[in-house]
Amino acid sequence: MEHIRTTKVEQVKLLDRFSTSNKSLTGTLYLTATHLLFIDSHQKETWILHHHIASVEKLALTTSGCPLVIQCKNFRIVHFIVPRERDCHDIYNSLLQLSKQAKYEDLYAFSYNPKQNDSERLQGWQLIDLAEEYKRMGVPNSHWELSDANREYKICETYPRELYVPWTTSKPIIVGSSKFRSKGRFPVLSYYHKDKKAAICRCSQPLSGFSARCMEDEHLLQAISKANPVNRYMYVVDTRPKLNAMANRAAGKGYENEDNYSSIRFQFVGIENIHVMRSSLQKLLEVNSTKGLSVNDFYSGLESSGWLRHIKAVMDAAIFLAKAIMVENASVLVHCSDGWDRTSQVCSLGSLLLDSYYRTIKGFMVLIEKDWISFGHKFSERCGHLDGDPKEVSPVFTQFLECVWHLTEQFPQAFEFNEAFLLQIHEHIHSCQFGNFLGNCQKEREELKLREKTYSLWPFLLEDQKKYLNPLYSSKSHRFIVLEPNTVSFSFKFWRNMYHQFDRTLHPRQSVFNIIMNMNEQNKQLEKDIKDLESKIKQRKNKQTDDILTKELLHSVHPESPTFKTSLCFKEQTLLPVNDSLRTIEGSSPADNRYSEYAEEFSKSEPAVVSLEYGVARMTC
Amino acid sequence: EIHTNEKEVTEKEVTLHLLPGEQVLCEASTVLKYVQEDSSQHGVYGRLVCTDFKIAFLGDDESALDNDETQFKNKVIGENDITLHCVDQIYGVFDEKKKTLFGQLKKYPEKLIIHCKDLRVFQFCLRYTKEEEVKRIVSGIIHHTQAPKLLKRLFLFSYATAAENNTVTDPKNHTVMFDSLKDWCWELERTKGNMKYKAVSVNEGYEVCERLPAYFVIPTPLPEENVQRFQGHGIPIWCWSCHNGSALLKMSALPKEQDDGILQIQKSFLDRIYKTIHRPPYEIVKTEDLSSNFLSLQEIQTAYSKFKQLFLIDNSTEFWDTDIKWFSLLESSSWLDIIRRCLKKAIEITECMEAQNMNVLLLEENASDLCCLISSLVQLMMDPHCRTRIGFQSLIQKEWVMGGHCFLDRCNHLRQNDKEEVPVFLLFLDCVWQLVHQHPPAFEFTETYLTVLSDSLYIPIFSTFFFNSPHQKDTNMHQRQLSLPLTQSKSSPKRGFFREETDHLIKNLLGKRISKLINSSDELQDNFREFYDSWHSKPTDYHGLLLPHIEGPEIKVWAQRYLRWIPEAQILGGGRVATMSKLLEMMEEVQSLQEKIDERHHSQQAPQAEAPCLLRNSARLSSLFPFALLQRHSSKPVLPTSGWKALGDEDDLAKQEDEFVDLGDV
Repeated sequence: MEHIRTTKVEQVKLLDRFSTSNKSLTGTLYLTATHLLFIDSHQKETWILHHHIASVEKLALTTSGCPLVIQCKNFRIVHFIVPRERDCHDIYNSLLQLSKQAKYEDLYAFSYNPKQNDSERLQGWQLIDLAEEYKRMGVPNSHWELSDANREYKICETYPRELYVPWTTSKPIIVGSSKFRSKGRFPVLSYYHKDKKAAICRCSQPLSGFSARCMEDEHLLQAISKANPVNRYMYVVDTRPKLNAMANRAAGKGYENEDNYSSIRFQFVGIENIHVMRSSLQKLLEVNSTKGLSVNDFYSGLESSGWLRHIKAVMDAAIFLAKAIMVENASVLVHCSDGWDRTSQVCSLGSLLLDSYYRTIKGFMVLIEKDWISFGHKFSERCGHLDGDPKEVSPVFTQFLECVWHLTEQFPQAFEFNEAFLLQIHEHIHSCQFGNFLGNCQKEREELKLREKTYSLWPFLLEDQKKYLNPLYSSKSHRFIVLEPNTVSFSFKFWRNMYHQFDRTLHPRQSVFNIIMNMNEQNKQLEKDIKDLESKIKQRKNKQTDDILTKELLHSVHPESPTFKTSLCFKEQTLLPVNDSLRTIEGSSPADNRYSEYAEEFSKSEPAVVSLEYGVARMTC
Repeated sequence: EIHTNEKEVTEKEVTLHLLPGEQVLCEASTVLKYVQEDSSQHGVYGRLVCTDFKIAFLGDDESALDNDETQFKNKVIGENDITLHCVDQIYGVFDEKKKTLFGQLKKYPEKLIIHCKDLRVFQFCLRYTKEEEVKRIVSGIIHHTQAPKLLKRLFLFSYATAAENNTVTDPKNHTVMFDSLKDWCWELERTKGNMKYKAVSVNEGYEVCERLPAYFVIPTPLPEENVQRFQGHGIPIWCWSCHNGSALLKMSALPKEQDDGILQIQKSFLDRIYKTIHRPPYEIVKTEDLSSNFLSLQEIQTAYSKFKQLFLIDNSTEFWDTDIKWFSLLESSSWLDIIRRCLKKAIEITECMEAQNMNVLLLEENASDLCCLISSLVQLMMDPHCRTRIGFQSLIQKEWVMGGHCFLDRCNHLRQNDKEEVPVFLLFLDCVWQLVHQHPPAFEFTETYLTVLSDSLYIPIFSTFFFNSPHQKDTNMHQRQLSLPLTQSKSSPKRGFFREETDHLIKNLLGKRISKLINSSDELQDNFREFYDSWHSKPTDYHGLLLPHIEGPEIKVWAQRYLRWIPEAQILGGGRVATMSKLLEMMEEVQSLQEKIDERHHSQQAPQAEAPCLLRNSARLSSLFPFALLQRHSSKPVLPTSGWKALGDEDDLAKQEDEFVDLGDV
């Protein structure tokens, strides 16, 4: 490729960001068309996708060489020291070019080839079917219908073709309302709660200025509240801080006047704009990049970054939605300014609290596809896929994932997926490896012919879903079990596995979940062993050898229920060869035999760290 | 202690449950106990009673509380009981103004607010109570909780007299008490320390020193007469031996003297001692002076008194007000930092013993505060036996009870000197909790055990935590008849940690500055870093050496103990309880399947014992389980966020118009 001058540099040092003793690894750096690859002396590979690079920086020359610092969008920060300045400069320039593409067609997704044929690829794209999803919610029905007004993207370019509106809504009403809404994003259905017959709708801010009115818009809002047979009033939630909304009035935009709309209750919830969020995350990362965090620096930094306060604000808004529907049976209309950032956050999180389907692996994909991709969250701009306006970049979707993570922490049994699933999705909104998140709206995606030229992420995640299962998930629960998260400050914590996912020195080695996942793996291995043994026994039996022995063996290995297998695993594990030497105190009392057995069961025979990173590297190869 | 309740017969009419030997002192009726509910306050009418053991509130409508959730409860202390020793502060409200109550009152308050040491907050309205009764109950409560007390007045003694037969120890309970030579020999043998150390009985009958236990362990070549020389001061006392032969020792400092002659004698004495333990077979000794360059007791006291205010919340308005500043308030208390420093010190010592094969000698004025804390933490990290329940109890018995930690003074049970009240033992439990929280499979017990243990510090029916030394306990427990002359309530004239004002001020200033420097740079010795990093990079052996993570974010708030009474902090159907109950459910299933298999294997019909499903219906359990029952939840959609705006540190950005504005270099 034209941007690459040097493809291989030897004797490069990789510094450990958090090590206080300035430890480093020496190895070889390779530059490929899609990745930067570092292989250290232990043959451990570090892959960095060019699209993941947020910034490259060349620091002042030192005695040991030329330092090169690369910051990635997945929060990896690598610090290389290249021996010769010339090489460093070449790599620096190449990376600058490679990490910022000007055209969509140069993105990785258009060259990525997972060796599938066209029909397999198309099948992958058809995995998530939103029409099916609306059917699952229970629409169309006697109150809600599919509108073909936007079939040709004539009314709103950033909306999907298929929109659901109250069944009384005529096309002139839609056209009128859309002219009164910023970017033509008129009120449409986002989620329908079958039991409560209440809906979550979304739109953008009205162009009300200080006094403007729009009959069609007022009519449409009334139609939405009438579509709820139980409760005639509806909430209109403006997710912005009141101050921002008022400021918008001067520009001819603003918010709904309660007097003009019959039966609405208006509410601000105060989520800050994309610029505040961007700088808040920046502050958070700065706080956490200091070496050897002491307790003191950490909490004050956490608080002054404001990040968790913003997460709390999004969560509070979602709780508001869930309560309005569950407790008051009222429909809710949500908007912010353009209705593609905060509105997507709040609508999707609200639905997640209300409907347990969205807490499954498949359901979560559907939720993202519906409230984020189809309703035009500007993924390419917010993630900076192309070399564009840096002011448009903002971690809005990351915030959503973090809110979900907090929920998984508070309700360990409620989600089918685990943290790794969220991390993997986050990885791919930036990787540009799959077509799902490219572009800013559906119309643009169709123009790019993404379905023909790229692959969808979801089938690959589903195929790998074993990695993403939460072992504590209780699937039995009722569909409409509502989550009531707690939002006191104590409940919010720094998401280390996201923001420090590549910093091994700070990584918790393992959690109970990893232990369980590993046990599951071992179970499978043991099951296989059992099968092998059984078949051997059968063979022997056929040979008419010792009959009694066989019976005995069959008794002790009896694969029936999965839980039983767990207990088997406990027993057999002690028989497994233990690779590392047990750091047992020799002189410990013989009186606690029981305890030592217990400890042995839990110790060892699990891989050091579940290598998420490795998985990613492999997927992105 | 928490037991499963075998459907105790609950009497319908509200009666006061009295323990053997417990006597009612005073009471008042038509007292209104406020129930925290949103911000609207309403309450329950009932009787407020003060006995020589507790303050109890008996609601007129108790039946409402008897739901299924009460299957886990404290059998000694009811939901509305406060033991006298558990009372921290008492406030009175006079015309909407809150004032601390103590001593003789001229005016009686319309509202009584009680802050407890287990962080519960009670509010009693006395407006509808007869004036006579108000006077009696308020002055009664103040007198019995706040006024200095004599040791012999502890409820402990009346309980022991009345419930004599109950003192039979459970044969299954093998907690080693370390009150006999045999126990020490057993411990020496267990840790293979008996080659170089010997148990001595030189202090039998506390003839040498009242501070030390009757039996303890010293290096074998050390003549026993040395112990007598300075009443046990300056003697290296054995705590524990590591598998590689290195040992943890402690020593109380020799008394500070002005006289040069005496100083000379002290010096030569110490030289002799050091010579003995510096010679083979003893490993190289590293001395850790815990009185300087480490935490001061006053720091601990100040930090905790700030920290606990975060949880002593009078109403939910107050809660939301402080919640905005939660992280900075938490930090400014520096309680978490103190925990971190203790854990770090313990890791440093562990490194010396484990990696460098050195003996470590802990030095402290009386070897009974930070010595106990650090030495037990080291043992907990190095010796898996200490992580069993019995092992842990034996450890507390060995290091704290026999080690002469002044529980009576540190908990201020007798209300004789507020300055001596320092939560050293609680700090220890909090450090242990960090370990349990980070490595749950390494411990036989859970955080609930620790929480209940911390509560029992204030329940004066167990004698464990109510004496300053084993000597004090022995003399009092054996001769508890009133006819005997009063034994000195303070057996050893301790040199308090508050010496001359200026001295401590300087020391504190210096100490602070030094510790700040040490902390902020965080450039620890290479040995330590390497040891710490290399341990953490390997898979954990829960039956071996166990180190905590001590990076800032890893030190957490012990939510179960500190937040359990705050309804705002609960998660319905969530939290760690949900994980636990799911795991329990799975284990029960495994167990019952295992039983079925065994049954089939032996082909005999054993009676099918259903595993008791303790945590059924886990979806509705609150995260505060088992300490708080299901709390109400507000029904109206409300946004608690309104307070956030007040902070507005992002003004310039927020004022900008939304998505369209060019903001320069943000």
